[in-house]
Amino acid sequence: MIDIGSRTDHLEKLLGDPWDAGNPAGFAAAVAADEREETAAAAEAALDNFGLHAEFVPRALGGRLERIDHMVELMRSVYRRDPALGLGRGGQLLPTVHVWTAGSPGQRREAADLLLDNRRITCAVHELAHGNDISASSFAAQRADGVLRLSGRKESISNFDRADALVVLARTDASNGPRSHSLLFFGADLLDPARVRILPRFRSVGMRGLRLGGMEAAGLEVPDRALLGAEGTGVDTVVRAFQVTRIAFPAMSTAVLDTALRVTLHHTRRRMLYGRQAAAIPMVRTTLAEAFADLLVCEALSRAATRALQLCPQAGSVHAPTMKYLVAGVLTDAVERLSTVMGSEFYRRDGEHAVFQKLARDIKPVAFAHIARAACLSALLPQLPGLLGRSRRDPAPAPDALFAAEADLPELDLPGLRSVAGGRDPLAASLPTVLDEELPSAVRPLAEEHVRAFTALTEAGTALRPRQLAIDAEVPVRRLAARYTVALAAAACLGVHRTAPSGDFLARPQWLAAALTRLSAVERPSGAQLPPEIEDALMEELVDRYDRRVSFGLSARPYA
Amino acid sequence: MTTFAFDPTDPAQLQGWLVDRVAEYLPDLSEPVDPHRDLGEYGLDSIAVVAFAADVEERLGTAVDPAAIWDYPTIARLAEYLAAELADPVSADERPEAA
Repeated sequence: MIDIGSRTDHLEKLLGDPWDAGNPAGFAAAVAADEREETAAAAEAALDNFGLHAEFVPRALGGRLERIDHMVELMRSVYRRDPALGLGRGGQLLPTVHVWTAGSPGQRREAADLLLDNRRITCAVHELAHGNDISASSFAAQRADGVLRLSGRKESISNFDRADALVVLARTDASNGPRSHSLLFFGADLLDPARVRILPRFRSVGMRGLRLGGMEAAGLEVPDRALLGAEGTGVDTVVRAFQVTRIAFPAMSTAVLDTALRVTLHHTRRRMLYGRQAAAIPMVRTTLAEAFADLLVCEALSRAATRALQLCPQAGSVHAPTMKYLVAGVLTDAVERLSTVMGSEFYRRDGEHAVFQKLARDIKPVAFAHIARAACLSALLPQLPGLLGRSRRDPAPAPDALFAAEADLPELDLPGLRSVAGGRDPLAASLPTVLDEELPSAVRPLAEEHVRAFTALTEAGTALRPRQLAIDAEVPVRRLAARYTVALAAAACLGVHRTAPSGDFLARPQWLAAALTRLSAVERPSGAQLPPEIEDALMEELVDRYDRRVSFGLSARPYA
Repeated sequence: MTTFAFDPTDPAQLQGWLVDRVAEYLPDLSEPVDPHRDLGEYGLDSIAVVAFAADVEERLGTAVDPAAIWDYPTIARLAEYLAAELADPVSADERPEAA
């Protein structure tokens, strides 16, 4: 198989220079398409030409999916140009992770063949009436004479109207509990117009190029063999398979901050104000440096979480809500702060920076779509006492392969994902050990502060009574779960620094000092400023990468 | 490895421990949990099930899937299942799923 570096380079080449106003897959085309609530046709064609959907098909089925971290890195090349294009295509993961997890060999083959032929599958799990409470879903499938009779509504489903097949979550038992639902997989040709009404498109503020649809079924019949996995295992499969997507989508979305930062640099380095470059004004400079540090934080946690899916798969139930909570929050805040230094340019729908207002809208769903940040804290909380207790009892350095630029990973085993971690999280377990290592003097006090905070969190978290962990948990208790996500991100940054080759920017203390400072500020928005020498180092690296046209994230790879 | 004041592979002893443990997760409990009554009837919701499963897994040192608590919905049945799992994890894994 062609290695990931060659694949990303090839995709960058196919999609071309996004700044080129004449590029039909560039920023100008993405903005124009957004105005029409579409994606750019030339960009879609380039992705088909690349055979992008093969990136979501396991290698054993003829695709190129071997590693989640590589798939994410490749998708950043799509997201950085147009997040709606990225989500529309990356959205193929939503239905297919269920097929790879629970499908029969025949169903897996069928789904793989569709994707390898550039066709689409849609994922009808969501119902507006029940939000993130999946086990309350009411869309029903009733058995009758060898068929399943479907009724109910599925709403806000991406690309519903252009799918060739569907994965649907349906209630197969009226009682409560996680054995009451089943997954179905069937062709869109079964959507008998007499029995199913296609709902009008849902219109949105951001991600306008993504067609959100839905259906209302009344006695729609599908054959028994549409069942994906055993009857009653639907919620169990969804809870496990969505760990992959809840990690992957925020991880891909870091590319949105990359572009927002790039556009802000483009503008503020040209803009002259008060006799100097806007980028040289301290407030602007600080905002740029902080956003760069935020991006590195998000990518460090993303790398660890995507790698952990293969290295320590038991932790997926912890890392998925952590990613969706922390990365989504940091990304949306960073784009928001960049908009304040874009001046009126952030508000324009024309001109060379028009893509910024699109990104500012497109980044929002990362915080609520698929699962809301608030629901992520509810998901983390029940596991918190066990995770914290175990990290105190069995502290251990995290494996280098979670963080290093290059690392071999075990094969991806989707059916092996578990719905609870049993207290085992390699990032949390590493925190009590990070001070045992040699740390640069600029970093040690900051690392000590995070370790102290984690010790305090462990005391508070392990003292929680079981009844405090429920959905009606008090706000201060929920904050403990939020603090846990900050601790994991700090552990990831320390790990990336520890494993970086000497001479590399990531081996230098400045970015790590900035990252740990920024993470402390997540809980205290008026928290510490970056010291001037740290800010200088970050700005020097940022501007250098901008001039060399390489990505601002961990990989610093070439961009077209 | 955790050490216990009881033998967790003995269903009766494990059941006593689980009765005490699950009570921590149930709202407004006025009497001891009946090991033969469905936990759902006590108001054990899906989030509490995750917490309870994580807690039991942590303390017993054996994998406890939240779904198992629905498949073995009374403390008596859960104790029987977990005791078998602890005594011989392989054969317990090979048993067919509960209906």
